[in-house]
Formats: sequence, structure tokens, C-alpha cells
Amino acid sequence: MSKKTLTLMSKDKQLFNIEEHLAVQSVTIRNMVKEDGASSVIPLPRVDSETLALVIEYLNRQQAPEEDEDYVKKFVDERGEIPTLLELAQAALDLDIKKLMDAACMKVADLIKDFTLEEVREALRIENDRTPEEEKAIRDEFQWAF
Amino acid sequence: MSDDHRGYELHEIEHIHMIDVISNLPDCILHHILSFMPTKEAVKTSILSTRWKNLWASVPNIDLDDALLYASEVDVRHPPEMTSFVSFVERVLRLRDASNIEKFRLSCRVCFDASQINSWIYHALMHSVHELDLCLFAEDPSVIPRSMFDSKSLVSLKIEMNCVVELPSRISFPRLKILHLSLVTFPNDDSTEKLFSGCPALEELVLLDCEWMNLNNIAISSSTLKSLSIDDLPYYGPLDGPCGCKIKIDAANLTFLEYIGYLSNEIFLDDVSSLVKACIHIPKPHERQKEVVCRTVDLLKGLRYVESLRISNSTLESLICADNWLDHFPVFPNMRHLVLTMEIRNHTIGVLMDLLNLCPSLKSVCLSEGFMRCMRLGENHSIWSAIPTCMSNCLKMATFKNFCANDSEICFIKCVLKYACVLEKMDIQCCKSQQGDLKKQRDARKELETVARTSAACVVKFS
Repeated sequence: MSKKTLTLMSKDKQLFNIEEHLAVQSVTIRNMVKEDGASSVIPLPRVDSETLALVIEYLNRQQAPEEDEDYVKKFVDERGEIPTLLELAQAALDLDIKKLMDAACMKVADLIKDFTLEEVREALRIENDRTPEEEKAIRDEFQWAF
Repeated sequence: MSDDHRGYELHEIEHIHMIDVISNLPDCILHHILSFMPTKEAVKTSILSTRWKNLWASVPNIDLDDALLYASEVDVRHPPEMTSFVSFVERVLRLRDASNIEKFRLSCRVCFDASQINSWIYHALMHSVHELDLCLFAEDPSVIPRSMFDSKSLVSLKIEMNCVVELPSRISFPRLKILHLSLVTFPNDDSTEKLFSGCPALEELVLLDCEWMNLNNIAISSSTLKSLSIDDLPYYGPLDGPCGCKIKIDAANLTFLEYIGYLSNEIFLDDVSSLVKACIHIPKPHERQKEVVCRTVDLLKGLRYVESLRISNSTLESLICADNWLDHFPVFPNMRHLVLTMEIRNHTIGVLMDLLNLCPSLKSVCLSEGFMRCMRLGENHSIWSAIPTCMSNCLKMATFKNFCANDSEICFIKCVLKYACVLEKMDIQCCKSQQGDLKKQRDARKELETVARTSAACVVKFS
């Protein structure tokens, strides 16, 4: 019996094939397969093709269970750019792949914890809508943190 | 993973494909990122923008540490004050939303007011904390709320505290799987045993540098326990003082056992029939040598069914001090993997060979620190007069680390290649330190990669 293959489509309409037994590490896909057999193409409208290629690479890993944790850590370490990690986290959330979500978020936390506030704003594309007075109030309130 | 992004289904969000993912990350991802940060850093993010103001307050993990109070790199003009830490913790706990706490870590090495810290821990317990990790430089046992010992929510409890742990009469941890105790002094036999028996789901127990002096005889009895580590303090009392505590271990499902220490307590392995892996390090005793040696032999005898053993050189040295240790020693019928964790010396190589002789099914052996530099070993050394059966029958993998290309090392490896008839791989890892002579290593590599070996299929790998 040949292994069943699923097709995932990124938001830029690229198609990726993956064997079903690997794809179901994603709880979202597992539920779709359970419900309707997921025979057609599964669209992932928030995941771009570069990120999806990474997710597919991750799902295709052939690691012994006891080495899996190290693998996941290395996998995100090697893609240590914050935008890539955030895209991965979003994809992992949509697809419900807990280990990948944890690892990506942990790596982001690790990277930004030494950033200045301005660097964090830049990395996470946050617009500063705070007045200097509001900022001072927070600094005063949580002196220990600053 | 939280479900709060499920407002829309995957197929419904096709129209938003042009929206930038990063500037629109859902709260649950931001919470998740914050949950991996110390609370101090997470709170800081409230300054980023209006949206971030209260994000930290619903993060399920709290990690509080007064390290700045004793850190060396603080600003000397404005040294952080204890009151600043206390008011920070109080504020964080007050402003958090009502959600449950997943992990609560509190490290107070300077800041110390027992009733205050007690109230912080109590707060975590009231929010059904799952993982509690406390490091308290305390002299007052009342720092721990008594209600902690009757917790339906705790799954993991780690306490580092250099005083007596005051145990109430009712102890119940129905869900606790992980218990680590460091530096605590156990109060007495009865309540200590109650502590262990109050954890019916316990899987991992770590006892690190605990003080057993108030105990005489206790049993660690658990049918769920899978992993046990004991790291024991040396005995500091008078030479004719008490002989330590008898610790009976009755854990039929234990698969991993680690013991590091001086055996100032007596470990008695009652039922460890499922044990697969053990790590033993007993430093060479300076006092009470005879007692320690007997206990070492007894402990190793209890490990007879393990498949994998890591053992230190000094543990082997203790064996030399025992009278006719070989006579008391069992065969290890299941032993597949043996790792020596310290440098082999002149007088331990013989014990190592004797030990190999007791492991008829050994598949791999690893000398993870290689040889001591003063080691002298030639082809005519008496150890080669009787080759252990495992070497000729089943040894498939040999690893020699910290290889410096000395004559003794080269000779040892050559002899293993000669006598190990079914060897598949000889893994040689060169010494990386300054002491490593690169030319010598290259020459040795050339020699060993081409040297005659009995097992034709054997690969010699250098790294």
C-alpha cells in the first residue's frame, strides 16, 4: 500500500506535498483528515511559501524520539532571525504543532530579552503610541524592572 | 496551545493574506513568548505600546529573582534596594489577572522576610500552580506555607532551602510527578517517609546535598518512581559518630538511578528490578574507608541487572581497597553499555578489565576521559594475559575520548583492535586542549587507521 500524500497550499499559492502520517503531527490537519479525509488541497492562507517549506522540513524530520528535543532546538537555532521565527510561530499556531510553537517562541524570548525597548519595537514591528508621561508612570511603578 | 485565535477557521481567512503576520501576531503568541522570560523582562514590555500594557499580566508563568541585589555588575551609584524588589513582587502578584499560574519560580537569596515570602508562595498555591520552583536562603522553616504539602495542583516541586523542612502531619500530593529537594535538612524518619509516601504519582526524585543527620532508617518506597538521583554530602562529624542513615529503596519500576557521594549514608537497594541505567560516582574515601568500600560493593551488587552503567574511576579505586571484591561480585548479565567517567590510572586499568570480565554481554565501552597522562601500559602488561569474554564475543563499539596519542593509549587501542573480534567501530576523540600535540595525533591517526585488526569490518574513526 502506497503512503497517502496530502497537499498544502501557501498564501502565495505554492503547493507542497507531504505524507499524511507526517502531516498529522499538526493537530489542525489531523482533525481535518478525521472529519473529511482531507483529499483536496489544504489552504494555509497565513503561511508564506518560505515558512511552509520550513514547516514541511520540520514535519519530515526523521529523529529518534529521545533526540527530538535537541533537533527542534537546533532547527530553530539555525533559523535565528526574528521575522522567520515569528512567521514559524504563527504557522505552528495555525497548524497546532505545539513543539515547534514552543521552540520558536522560546528562541524569540531568548533573543529579545537583551534588546533595548526600541530594538524590541523594531523586531516585533510595534508602533509606539505611548506618551513620555505614560512611560514615566510605568517606570516609576515597576522600578525594579528598569 | 490556547484556543483564542480560533475566532476564524482556516478557510475563512483567505482574504487577509496580504496582512503582515508580524505586526498582527495574536495575543496568544505574544503571551507564549513572554512566558519564557523572567517576569522582570515581561513586565518591561508594558512600556512598548498601549496594546502591550497588560499583556504580561495574563502570562501563566512567573519567574522572580532577587539576583540584582547581589549581582556584581550593578550601578554602584544607584544600587537596587530590597524594598524595590519587594514592592515589585507585591505589585506583580496584585496586578496579574485571576488566571491560574502554570509555573512559579522564586529565588530569594538576599531578600528575606519569612512571612512575606510565605504569602507570595501562598498566592501561587491559591492559583493552582502546577510547577513550583523555590530557592530560598532561609533559616526559618515557616517560609513554606503548610498548605503547600496538601496540594491537588502541584505536578512539579523543586525546593532549595538550607534549613529544616517542616513537615505537617497531613501530606498529600496526588498529582506530583517531580520532586527535587536541595540542601534541606530532613526532620525525622516518620515525617520524611510520609513525604515520599504522600506522592502516589511520583516519577522523578532528586535529593541534592540534603542533610540526613536526623534520620536513622527510612524507606523510599514507590511503584511509580522512574528516576532517582541522590547527591550526597561528605560526612563531617566525628570519626566514631553515627554511621549515617539507612536508606532503603523499594521502587519496582525505577529505570534510572544516579548516586554521587561519599556513601556516608547506606543505600540499600531492595527492589530495583526494572533498573536499566545507573550512574555511580563515589570519590575515594579519606575516612571510614572500610565502611565506604563495603557500601560501594553492596551498592554495585544491587545494580546487577542494569543495561547501562556510568561509573567513575574513583569508584573503581574503592573496589581495589575491598578484600577480594571479585569474590563477592555478581556477573552483570544484561550490561550492554559501560562508560568510565574519569581518567583511567595505572592501578585502575586492572579493575576495569576485571569489570569487563563480569559483563559477558557488553556491546559498547567508552572511556570518556581517556587515560591519565602518567599511565604506563605495554603490550606485555598482565591485563592482556586473559582477555574478557565480551571483548572476543560481543563488543561492537569502543570509544576513547581525550586521546593525546601517548604510547600507552596507542598500545591500548591496538590491543583492543587485536582482541575484539566483532568490533564494528573504534571511535577515537582527540584531546582538544593545549596539551594535545597535533603532529603526534596525526601520526597516531595514520598508524591506527591502517593497523591490523581482527574484525575486518571494524571502522576506526578519528575526530
